[in-house]
Amino acid sequence: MLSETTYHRPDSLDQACNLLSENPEAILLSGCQSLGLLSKEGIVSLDTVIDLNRISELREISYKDGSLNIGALATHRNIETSQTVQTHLPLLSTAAKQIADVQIRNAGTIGGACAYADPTADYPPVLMATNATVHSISSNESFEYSARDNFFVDYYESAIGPEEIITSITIPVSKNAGFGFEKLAYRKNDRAIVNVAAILETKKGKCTRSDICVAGIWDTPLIANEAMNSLLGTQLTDDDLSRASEMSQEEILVCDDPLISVEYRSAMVGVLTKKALKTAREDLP
Amino acid sequence: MILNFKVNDTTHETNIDPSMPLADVLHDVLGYKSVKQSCSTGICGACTIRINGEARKSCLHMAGQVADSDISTVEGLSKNGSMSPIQNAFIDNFSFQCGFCTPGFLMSTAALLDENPAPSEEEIRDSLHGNICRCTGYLSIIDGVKDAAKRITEGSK
Repeated sequence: MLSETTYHRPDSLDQACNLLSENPEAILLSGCQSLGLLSKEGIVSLDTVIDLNRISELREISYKDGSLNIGALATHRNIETSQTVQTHLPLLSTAAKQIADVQIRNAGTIGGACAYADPTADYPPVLMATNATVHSISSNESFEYSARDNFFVDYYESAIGPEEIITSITIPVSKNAGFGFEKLAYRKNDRAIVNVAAILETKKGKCTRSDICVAGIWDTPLIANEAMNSLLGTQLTDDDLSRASEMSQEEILVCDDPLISVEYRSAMVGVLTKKALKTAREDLP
Repeated sequence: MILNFKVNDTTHETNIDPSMPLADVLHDVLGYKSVKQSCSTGICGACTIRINGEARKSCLHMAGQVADSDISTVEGLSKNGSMSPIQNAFIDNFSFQCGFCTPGFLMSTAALLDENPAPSEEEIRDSLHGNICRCTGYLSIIDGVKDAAKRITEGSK
């Protein structure tokens, strides 16, 4: 490094937004678990850093009117162990628990993970399946993104602009839903080769809601629309779930990887979709 | 930038680049030699220390991020020249061979046992998942953690 990093530690969100608007090239720091790697690899330069860790309002986790609100600085460990999250959306705690290891979960944050948009990460399929909203703010404007429709833009690319700071993620939750999350990795809690989040709801024995999101296989997580539609109105029998899993395997795009064949990964999309759907069915209240 | 670090209850004033990895600050600048770096990419856990009680990987924190936090390292485990029950349990159970990974395992264990004095084997494995040992295999380490838990609960050394 040629010269010392200019390091800001704002105490409020307003201060942080103003600093970022004055220095749009600045790097935002939350948990530093991915940023630490990127800076060591020379992928990002740390001329100016804005450390968000003193903005305590961004750590809050709360539930109100059917929505779970997770502050951007909530750590994976906070989300894994939060009674509020476990009560209202255990799917998110389950996903958080499968991130890396305790040390990393103690530091890494959901806001950082969203901005980083790692296609093999564990939150994105959950946030897309649940139809979460990502909130951000700049010095003069606030923004909302739909996790499902327009937040995860491309390979390691989210929709967040250079002058925006992610403030929170809001997730609509339903008491009537059953959840499933399945992950395949080289070793426990490693990056996902394939991961799948599934949500089901029924009324009078018939499926009224089905959401399936598959990640790890493409530049962004993908929604299995046809598989989801095939389940609506069914009684969620084993045959219904098998057919939906085959459709998911058929429709989900899988990109080439030097270590894993497309055929294998695609087959695992089917297998994991089925497992996630079965778990979701068993989880129905 | 002038930054203060509170390590094992001693405060150090430094003038360093705030983007320096904490592992380098602790080992190279402040002389806490227990803090080892092996992979420097957050995988191996050799550099595990505690920040405000939590196990963290010091290679993946910037100096500025943790200034003014409570940091603890293996140097803070022993009291009045006597090793802690965790260290004694590791020695008695042969929980290390070359010892390079040991400081990280000790700090992960210390964080676990403070939070959960009687962990199950699964909880021990989960807590040590972020620490890699290439000598002993993990069974003797898990035995060391179980023994440490017992010693702490019984109040023995």
